[in-house]
Amino acid sequence: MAVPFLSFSVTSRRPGLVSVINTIVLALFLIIVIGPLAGLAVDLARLVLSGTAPAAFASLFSDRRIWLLVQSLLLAAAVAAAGIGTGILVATALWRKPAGITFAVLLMVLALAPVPPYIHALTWSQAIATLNRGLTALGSAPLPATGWTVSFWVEFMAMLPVAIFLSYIALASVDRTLVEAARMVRPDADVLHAIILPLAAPTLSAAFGFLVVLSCTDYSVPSLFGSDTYALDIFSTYSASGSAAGALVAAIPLLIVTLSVMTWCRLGIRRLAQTPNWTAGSWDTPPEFPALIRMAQEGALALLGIQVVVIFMGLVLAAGSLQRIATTVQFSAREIQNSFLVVACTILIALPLALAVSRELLREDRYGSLWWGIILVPLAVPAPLVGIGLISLWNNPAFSPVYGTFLMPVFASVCRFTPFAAVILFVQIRSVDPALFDAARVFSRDTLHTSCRIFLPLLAPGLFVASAVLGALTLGELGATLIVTPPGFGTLAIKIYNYLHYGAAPEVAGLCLVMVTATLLAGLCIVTALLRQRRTPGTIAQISQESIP
Amino acid sequence: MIELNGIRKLFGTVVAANCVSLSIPDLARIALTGPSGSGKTTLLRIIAGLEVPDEGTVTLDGRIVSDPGIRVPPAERGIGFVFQTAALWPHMTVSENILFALQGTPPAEAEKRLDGLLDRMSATHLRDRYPDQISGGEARRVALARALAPNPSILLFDEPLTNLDDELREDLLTLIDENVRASSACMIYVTHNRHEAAVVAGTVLNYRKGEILAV
Repeated sequence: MAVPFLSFSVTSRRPGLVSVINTIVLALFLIIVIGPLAGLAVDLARLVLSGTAPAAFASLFSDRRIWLLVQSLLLAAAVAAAGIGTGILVATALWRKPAGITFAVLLMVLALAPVPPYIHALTWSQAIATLNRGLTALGSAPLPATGWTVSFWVEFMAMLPVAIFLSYIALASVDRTLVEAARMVRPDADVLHAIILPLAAPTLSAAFGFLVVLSCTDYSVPSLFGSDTYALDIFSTYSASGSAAGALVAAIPLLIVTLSVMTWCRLGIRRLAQTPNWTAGSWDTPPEFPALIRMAQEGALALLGIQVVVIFMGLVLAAGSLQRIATTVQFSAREIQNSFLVVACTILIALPLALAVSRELLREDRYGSLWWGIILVPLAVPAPLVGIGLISLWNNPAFSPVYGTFLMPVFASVCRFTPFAAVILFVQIRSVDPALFDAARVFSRDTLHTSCRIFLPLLAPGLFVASAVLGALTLGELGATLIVTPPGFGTLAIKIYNYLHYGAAPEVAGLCLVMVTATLLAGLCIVTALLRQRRTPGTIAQISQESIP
Repeated sequence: MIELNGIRKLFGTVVAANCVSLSIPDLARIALTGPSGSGKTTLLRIIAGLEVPDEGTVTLDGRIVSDPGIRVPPAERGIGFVFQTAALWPHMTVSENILFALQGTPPAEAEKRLDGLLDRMSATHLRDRYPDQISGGEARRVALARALAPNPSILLFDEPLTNLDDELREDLLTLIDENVRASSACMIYVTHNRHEAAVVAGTVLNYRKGEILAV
């Protein structure tokens, strides 16, 4: 973890050594994060050379596969569109709310964002069952408990916190002076339609694309509600054949779509990360909207409220008494311990990698663009494929000390979530006045002391947020962990997922409560760090890669 | 006519306006000078409706637009505002930027007004360009044209010549002076620069710590 800071300590004296250390860290990033995908590609090349590839490729064009892909993409697009639409309404509704309510909503959104979709699936299946009991008692037809409609609804509600957060920062990133200039000459509804939304369109589009990718690579919700998706089919293909290359071939159509979407989103995501004012304060004179828009905004806020109630009430009611929760937790102590071990190791490995990569992301040249492309690749790859790639890469006699140990789920999380940490640190570095870094370089006497007294505090909020995000996401990671976890090493996420299939509701709810409480704490850490950041006087400027450690 | 009565605005413990009362008659040209952080811009934004005063009343042309029970939206106050930056909408061309401020004007009349404004600002050739295709000085001209477009009865300038070189500043100052004199609007011009204040304003007010100190 200390490597990037130590690298500063020799910046002015031995730039060659800095380059070497930086190159080593970047190489480690490529091995751990991109390596599994490269391993799959090698397997695929072997398959092609062995002459058995044509049969595998032919299966791609079966009616079932094509239809599965279309269904999955339609589901993902519908979820993303509904999410962004609702997100815009909630974000604009918050403009008119007191600062305390906005804070509470953002806290809730950030706390719920990392909650794994399968927990949403559990709480919503309970809510639908309760609702159906009521409907049956009233003599009405029950709501469907399985199928595409309910899959859409639960996936939409699971993605809603992320959608709201992304929409909020996309709208907040619009230059406030441009909005005020428009408010001087046109009513606020016109300003929203003609100025704010068009200016936020690139970032909103990126958010939409990101949600499409998240949704179409998640198989946990559709599979629990009886809907087959393409991501699930990749997992099934691997389970049935044990062939990594076969799984990669099966994943190619989905990968083409997700990589294309992420490439399309790349500029928007980069722009969103570079936009300085997304933590801007509230409006002194909030926009006035017509009654119809206000109704829609309140409806969107109510949807978020329903989601919060369903997840918390559902889990608390299903978990039973405190004693029962305590028994469940005690019974799963080993899995909880394992999960936190994986979380701690993931943070320790991912942070230095992310810090090194975030430095590359600052570059304005083609090399910087290349790094933006590289970090988005793991986000576009379905989780099962990451797991299969990890096995393909590490299941080798040379790596026997690693393969089959708890490091495999750690690498799975590092591979999937380091890009998030890199973007967060990029945003953090951009938000610090570059003159502060330059001043530290000029006045530096004891460089280690300067690193600890200047650079660490300046980057601390970003490191803190990145750690919290990594922790929350790792805790819930299932898709890749399920494939790479060694026998006898269970995690909380795997235990919950297994319980979900066996229908042990109170035990699942108790464990889910543990996980949601942990993500709530992570959310609280993130909000605290962001608020602290807002109080830090900093200017946004073009910061050069050379200015930072 | 602008009338401020007992305007008070606090940001935490910082006083931006401390019971400011002021009456500016029609056609008057006022410059508001003072050090950074004295609250000049806040006072301008309160008149424009972009900030809400904690106390006091704002009356424009005999109509109360802001008091504890009334808040008229900025677009309904008949004000032209020129910001510190040009604040041109980047997804619209120069002509679209100006036409956006002419809502409700019949299209033929709006086009005629647009032509006239572009001509006055020597910016006819910029008509179909986007903001990122014009220079900083040209952008300020377009911003001035946009503020003048709806024929406002009040013009507010918030340090409009910040970050411009001396030559450009003098050119634009002359342009602003000519156009304000030609309009029937009253004007408040916020600046640090005493020379600018002397050129464009008939009266210079000194504003410090939320209070008008000298007239």
